[in-house]
Amino acid sequence: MLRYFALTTNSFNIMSRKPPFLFLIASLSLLTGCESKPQFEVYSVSKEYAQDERHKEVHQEKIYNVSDNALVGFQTPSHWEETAPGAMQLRVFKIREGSANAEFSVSAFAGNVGGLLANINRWRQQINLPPIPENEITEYTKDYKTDNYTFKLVRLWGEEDDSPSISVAMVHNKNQTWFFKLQGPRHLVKNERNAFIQLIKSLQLP
Amino acid sequence: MRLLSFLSSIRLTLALLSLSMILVFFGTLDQVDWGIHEVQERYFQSWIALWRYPHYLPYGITLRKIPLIIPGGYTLGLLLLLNLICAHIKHFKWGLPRLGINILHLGLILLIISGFSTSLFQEESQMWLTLNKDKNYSENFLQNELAITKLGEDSTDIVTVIPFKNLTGSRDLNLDHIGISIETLEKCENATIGTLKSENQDNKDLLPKATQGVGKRMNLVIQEKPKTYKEDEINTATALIKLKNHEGDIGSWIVSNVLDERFPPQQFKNNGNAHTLALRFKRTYFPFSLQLVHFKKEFYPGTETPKSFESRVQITENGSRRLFTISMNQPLRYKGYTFYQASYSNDDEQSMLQVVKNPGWPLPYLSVGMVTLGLIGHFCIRISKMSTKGKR
Repeated sequence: MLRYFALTTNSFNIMSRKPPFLFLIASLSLLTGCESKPQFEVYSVSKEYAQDERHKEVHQEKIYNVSDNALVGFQTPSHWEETAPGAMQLRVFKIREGSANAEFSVSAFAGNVGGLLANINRWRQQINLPPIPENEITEYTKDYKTDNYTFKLVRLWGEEDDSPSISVAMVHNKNQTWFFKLQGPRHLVKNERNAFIQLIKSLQLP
Repeated sequence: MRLLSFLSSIRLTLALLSLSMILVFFGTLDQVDWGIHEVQERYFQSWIALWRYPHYLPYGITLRKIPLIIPGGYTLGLLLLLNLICAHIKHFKWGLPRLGINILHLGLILLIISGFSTSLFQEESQMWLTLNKDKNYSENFLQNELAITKLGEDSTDIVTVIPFKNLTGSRDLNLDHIGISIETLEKCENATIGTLKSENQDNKDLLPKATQGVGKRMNLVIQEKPKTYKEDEINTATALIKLKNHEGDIGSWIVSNVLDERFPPQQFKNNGNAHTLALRFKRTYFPFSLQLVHFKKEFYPGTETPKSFESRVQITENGSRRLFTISMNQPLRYKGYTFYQASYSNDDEQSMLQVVKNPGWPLPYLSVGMVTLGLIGHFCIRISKMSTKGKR
C-alpha cells in the first residue's frame, strides 16, 4: 500500500536549530502528542473490497435519528403524522381514522433484496396470508409509471374490511431497491390509495 | 535540593492522589452530559479540566459562570511520575533488602508511562464483517474524513483522505497530486439535512447552496444543530465544499456522513479523470483482509440475554489463509491489532469487531507483573528477616 503525507510544518527547519531546542521540542511532542500532523493522506486501495453495508441500516436507527429522513423527497397529505423511524426504516408516518391506525414507511436496501416473490411472501406472512407460488405474482402486482420512475405496485388485501392489508410501491434506483409501504386495516389502506399514488408521483430519490 | 525534596515528598503523593479522586469524581458527574469519550478527552487526556455547576440545579445559571479548575489527567500523571522518580532517586539504596521495593517502584513508573503511551498512541475502531465477504478496513464512528477517490482504470483506486477537522474556512486546501483545491464554505459537526421547504423560500440562510451532486439535485439545505454526546447517537458531520482546479471553480457539493453507501456516490471529473467525493467515518486499512466464515451465539436458557457469541474469521495475507476464532473474552492479536468480539446483527450474518491498535500494549502487563513480583519479593524478604530475628 502506497502512503505519503503532507506536513503542516517543515521538519527540516527545526532540525537546523540548536540541539537543546530540538530536545525541548521532542520532549514536548512526546508529552503532548503535538507532533506535526499530516493535513491529508494519500493511499491506494484495491477495488475488490466493495462492501455489503447492510449493518448501516441497522445502525442507522441509532446513528442518524431523523436527520437523513428528508433525503427522500415526496409530498404527503396533511393528516399523515410523521414519527420516528424504526430499524431499517428511513421515514415513517402514522395515519389515523377513528380507532383505526395505518402506517406508511420508507426503506431502502442494496441489491434486489431477495427478489419480488420472497418479498411478497414475507409481506403476506406479516398479514397472516399463506405464501403464493411464482406463477401467481401477476395477480397481486402491476407496473406503474410516473414521470421519473417505474414502480412495481403490490397490493395484498385481507379478507375482511378491518383485516390487515398492505400496499407497496417498489422502485429500483441506482443499485438500491426502495420500498414505500402502507400497512393497516383494509378499509383504511383503500381510503388512502389516492394519497399513496400522489405520493409516489411526487417522489424524488437521491 | 529543595525542589527534589518537594517533588519526592509523600505529601505531594497524597495531594496528587486526592486530586486524582476529585478528577474522577467530577469527570463521572460530567459523563452524564458529555458521554464517556468527551469526558475522557476533557478530563483525563488534558492538562487542565474545567467543571461547571449544572444549570438545572438551584442557582445553576449564575454558578456555572465560574468554572472549577482541576488539574487534568496529564498534569497529575506527569507529577505522579516525577514524584515517584524523585522519591526513587532520593531514597534509592542498593542491596537485597530493598530489591522488592525497587522492582515495585519501577513497575509503578512503567505503569504511568504505559498510561501516557496508551493515551497518545492507542487507536480504536470498529469493523463490521459480513458472512463470506472479505474486508480490509475498520471504521471509527467518532471521527470523520473527506475521501476523494480517483477511480483508476486498473484494479486500484487512489484515495486522498482529509480529516474532517482539517476542513477549515480560513484557507484552501491544495491537493496538488490530483490538481484540485478545496474551499470549505460551511462546516457542521452535527446537522440536519433537508429539502427546501416552501415556507423557507425567502430565508437566505435556508436556501440550497450546492451547485453539484445530490445537494443540487434534491435542493438540499443544511441546518446546524447541537453536537450530541449520547452513547447511542452519532453526529451527522456535514460540510459544503467548493472544488477548484487551475481553470477555476468545478462546483460546490454537500458532503455528509449521512450520505453513505446507501446512496449513489457523488462524482466529478477533473483533467479527464473520474473522482468520487464522500464524507465518511475514518477508516483504517490493514495489510491483510478478514472474512467472517461462521458466527455463533448462545443465549441463557429461556432468555434473550446472550451468554456467548463468537466469530470464526479467516485472515488472508499475501495469498496465505489462516483461520481464527474470536469470542467475547478471547480477542485475536494479529500484526499489532487486537480484534475483540463486540456485536452482531442481521440474523447472524454480520459480526462487529472492536479493533484496537496500541503499540505499547505489553507495557501494562509488564508493569503489573513487576509490581506483583516486587510485592512478593518484598514480602518474602521481610518474612525471612523476621524469621531470622525470631531464631536469634
